[in-house]
Amino acid sequence: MSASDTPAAPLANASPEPRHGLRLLAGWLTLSVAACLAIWFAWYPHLPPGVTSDSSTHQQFDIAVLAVIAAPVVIGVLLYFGYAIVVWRARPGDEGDGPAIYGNTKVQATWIIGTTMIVLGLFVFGTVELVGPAGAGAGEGPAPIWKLSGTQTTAWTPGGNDILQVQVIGQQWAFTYRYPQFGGMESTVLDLPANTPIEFHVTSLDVIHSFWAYLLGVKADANPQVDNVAYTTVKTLGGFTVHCSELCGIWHGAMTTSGTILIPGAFRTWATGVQAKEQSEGVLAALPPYALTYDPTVIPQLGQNIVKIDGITGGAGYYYGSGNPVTP
Amino acid sequence: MAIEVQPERAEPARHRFEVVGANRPWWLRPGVLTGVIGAVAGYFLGHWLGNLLGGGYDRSSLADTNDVAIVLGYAFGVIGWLVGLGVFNDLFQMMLGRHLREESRLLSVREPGLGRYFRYTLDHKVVGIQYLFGMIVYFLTGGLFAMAIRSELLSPSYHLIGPQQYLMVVGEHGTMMMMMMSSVILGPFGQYFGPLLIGSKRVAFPRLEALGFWLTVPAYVILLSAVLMGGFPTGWTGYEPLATQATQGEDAYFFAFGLMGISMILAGFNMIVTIINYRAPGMRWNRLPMFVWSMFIVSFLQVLSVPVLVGACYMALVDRTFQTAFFANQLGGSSFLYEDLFWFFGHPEVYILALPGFGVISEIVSVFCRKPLFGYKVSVAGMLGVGTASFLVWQHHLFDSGINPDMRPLFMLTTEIISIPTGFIFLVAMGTFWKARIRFSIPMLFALAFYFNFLIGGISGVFLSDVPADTT
Repeated sequence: MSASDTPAAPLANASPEPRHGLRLLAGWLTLSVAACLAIWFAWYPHLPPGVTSDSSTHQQFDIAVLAVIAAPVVIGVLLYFGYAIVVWRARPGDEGDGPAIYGNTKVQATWIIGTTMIVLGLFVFGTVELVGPAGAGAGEGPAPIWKLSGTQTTAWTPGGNDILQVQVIGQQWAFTYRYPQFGGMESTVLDLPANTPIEFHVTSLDVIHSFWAYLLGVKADANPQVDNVAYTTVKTLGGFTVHCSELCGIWHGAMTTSGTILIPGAFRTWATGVQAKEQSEGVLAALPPYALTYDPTVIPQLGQNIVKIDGITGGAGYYYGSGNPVTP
Repeated sequence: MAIEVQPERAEPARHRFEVVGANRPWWLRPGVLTGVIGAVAGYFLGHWLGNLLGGGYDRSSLADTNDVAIVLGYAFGVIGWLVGLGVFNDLFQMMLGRHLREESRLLSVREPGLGRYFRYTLDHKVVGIQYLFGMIVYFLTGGLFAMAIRSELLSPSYHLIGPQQYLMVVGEHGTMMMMMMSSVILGPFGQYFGPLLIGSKRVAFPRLEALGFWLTVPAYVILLSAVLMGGFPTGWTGYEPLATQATQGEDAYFFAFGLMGISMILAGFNMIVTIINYRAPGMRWNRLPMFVWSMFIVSFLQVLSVPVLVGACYMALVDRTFQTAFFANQLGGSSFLYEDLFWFFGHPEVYILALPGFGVISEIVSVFCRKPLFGYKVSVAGMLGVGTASFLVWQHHLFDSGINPDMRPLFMLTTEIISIPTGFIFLVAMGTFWKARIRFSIPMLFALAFYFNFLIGGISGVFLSDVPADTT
């Protein structure tokens, strides 16, 4: 049932009913414009996750746009409720009822259409921002559909458009990283070249972990027997931290590793250096062959002496011995 | 569509307040006391049976514990609890062809005294009060666990409890809250006020309703018993490969959650049939109070989504006990399956928590604004939209997991769309506030705080529904 919202005519000697709608609209417009400008120009550059990589830049842009759209909604609702509880509170001694307004088709229709349009717009925006930057740093599973353009090679060279493949192996309670284009060498730190398309293959040896390089804008769950692919291109040099963001047991909170972003030449030097070192120490030969997933129960190198050389565990698990875990 | 028009078993006035069942002392009647005796006896029986069945597994001797015994102990313990409580008495009487003692238990005015709150009473008001006290106890326990978390976190260097215990406390807090609180409004307020608001003396299935409450008690006790076994490391979501790896406390988690799930299914089912069939003559659908609408929709959510959780808990339990491989990736199972099953329940679960709140505050604001609720149909449409759409959004908990990237735009769309009917709640409130006469009593202050809080929740949902922003 809907009825008109025109109130009854005010008493002859009362002041005319103030134009509540206009007041609210004026206040809302002013505050919204101010808030949107403040968000876009003052807050945007400081929003998480920063501009370290392509994915993180896109995510930061997304958050800023969403904030600019959300701010007028928040301001509208809060302003309305604040206005209502001040202007329309029951005065002392007033035992009367409010006007019996059961509905107003115009108001309802405006609200429904307005919110629908905002929501559909956000959907289109979100999809474009997801598809455009190759999945926006989110893990896409074993068969990714939004990929970075670049050349798939078995030997990565800097300067060209070769995609660098990095495998992230999560286990209780550490991340290690293997670089198949450098002989499958394994490292405990994640060093990456700048301005290069990077393809992460995230997998786990035991329970579900999640590879979360916050500054790079990458988050991909590590499931056992699953190869979860995520893409990014890092832009700025510097250090970053990797955390685990899926509860994986008692030392989940201690599963952090660090990484550095180097210029491509320096990265290649580092990677070939680690490869040579592991070759000479016999680690490379002892590691299981590079594969997209590992099953620790069937890896033949299980129990061999490859654990605990420079922290490498070779996809065999047992980062901690079978006794109680030691405080990291 | 039958509407209840006959007062059941109308009796001559002189017998109206005849006290029944008073010929035995309270400690000889079935109630909580006999329930506890039955539970203990059942636990021992189940544990013994479990040792018989599962004692030979390598896993049992390696871990020095037998999950089969624990789970069967819980199962038989719960059955013993219900038997001791007298839940099956009427059933057995009917099976033996005897007359039931009397439907008078539906009207607890026949059984004065506090004892009826500790028995399997069928009066919906008694069940409502039982739920109220139960929920207060469960909420208090969950809150105490939260205080333990906060105490541990007061200082980064001084540790009150060790890492294993902290993980246990976090899991217990989360599970106690999410699991037990899902009935916090449907239980006390739905059972007490639901029939009153539709003009009925009773609910459709009083025995199921009371059973729904009495199942929450063993669920609570079983969840707490995990503390005695070192807790569970998975937190309230119970993600799978870790849950199979975990020690005995995880059995308590899955069993308690499954039990609470059964309680929710029964309560929801009962509420649906009551609201459809037991409305007083003239109580048309377009006259139903907003709270009753919210109860009705929430009950559909419970009946349709909670069985999925019970299935997931059951599969996880057999993975842990009888060595099946539903969720073991290396043996052909899938950890993704657990995540999907859990969140297919998990998203309607949060609407089970929220929708009754929408109903309650819609009732409150119209009273304390001294105006009828603005947009009754819009409000109902909003709740119906939220209830329906809540089944279509669960993948937003799994955006980064690697499941089905091609489905992400679809789930982004549905998650964004569900904000539209949720917004109707605000539309209705804002319309009710227009030119009202607002009185700031305590319920109104709570309602205002609800709108403020839910605005934050709703707007942050806009950010989280966007996959790139969710990845950050």
